[in-house]
Amino acid sequence: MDERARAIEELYRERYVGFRNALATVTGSYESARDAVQEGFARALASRRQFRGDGSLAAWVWQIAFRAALEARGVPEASIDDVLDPQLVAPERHPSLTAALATLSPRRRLIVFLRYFADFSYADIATACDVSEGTVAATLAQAHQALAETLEPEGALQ
Amino acid sequence: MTDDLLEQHFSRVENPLNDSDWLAVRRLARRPRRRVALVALAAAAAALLVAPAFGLGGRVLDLIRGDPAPTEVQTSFAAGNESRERLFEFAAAAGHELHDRFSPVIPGEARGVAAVETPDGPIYLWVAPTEDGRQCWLIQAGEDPATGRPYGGGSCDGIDRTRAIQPEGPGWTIERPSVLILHVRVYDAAVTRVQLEFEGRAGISLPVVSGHALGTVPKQESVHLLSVVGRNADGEVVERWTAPQ
Repeated sequence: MDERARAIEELYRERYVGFRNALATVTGSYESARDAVQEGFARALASRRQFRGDGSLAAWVWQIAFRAALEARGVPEASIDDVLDPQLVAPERHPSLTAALATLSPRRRLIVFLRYFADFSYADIATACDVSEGTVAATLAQAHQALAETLEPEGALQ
Repeated sequence: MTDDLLEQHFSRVENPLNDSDWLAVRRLARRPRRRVALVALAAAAAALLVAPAFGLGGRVLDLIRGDPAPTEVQTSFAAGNESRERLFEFAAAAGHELHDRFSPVIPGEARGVAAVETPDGPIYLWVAPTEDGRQCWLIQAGEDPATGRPYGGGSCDGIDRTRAIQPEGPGWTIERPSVLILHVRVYDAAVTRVQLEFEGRAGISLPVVSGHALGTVPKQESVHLLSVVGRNADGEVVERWTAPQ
């Protein structure tokens, strides 16, 4: 196995759960998200020579898995803002977080999910969502503010 | 609200189950590549025979017939327009004497010209006319799985066509794991077939469609193209290109 294949395997073993959880907000279920992550990593492994190596491997694989998820939904060219509506899979587990997330646009919600479920860096999110790092920082700052307004009255976590 | 506090909120709703299966990923990755319907050379050639040459606004389009290029390929040609135009502007601004001029490609008129199946998957040749009647082409060897954009490379006709046969490759086109790609641009309409001769290995013969021939040879450490012979429909030698010494 070559070095790039090993890097993809390492990424998979370390980040699988985060990828699946983040993607589940797009696909609507953990099962379909699992399929998309499996498909995404398989495509990345088969096409690893096309990874230029000058960016984040995690972001590259995420984009592939994200496309696989869109294809599975029958909307391969879908825009996050127009069609997709990332949501928590089990909103009843945290109603106040669900309410807070509902105040964000779909794109901001996806950025938040990538940050807190997939543990993506700002740079990874920028690549994954095809926006600048500054936009990610500004979006997360705005999201923090919006979430704070809803969540902080709740007080300390239970 | 801090990152840490938000992380705590999200940890309450995340699914900790690890149902990963790397071996399944590897099995999926070994699936046979999707076989995309090839643009049949014979069909394209037949279309050439029955399709009358036509002009559009003075642009010469008679050499481009075949399946319309998919949107991603058209987008790729459009993006190439921007980068080529910038390149010409930079060169002019830097004071370089230009032996060519920029003419935009018409992405909506991009067509499939040839395709070959290889162990690395199909390779396509897409061609689009420029506004001043030349051609640009894209040799596509798959797509970037992250973006869906065509993966490949291409070029455009220069303004000064001093040779009737202009080969590309091996070694000057995109890298593939198992094969070397050979592309020959042919400017003489009488040439219907090109014969490529190599040093130390058997030559190959390729049909010419819409002024292009596309083929591959198995990858070896050293492949040196010696000559390209252009023949007409009767098999007579019409043109010959010889590699510079």
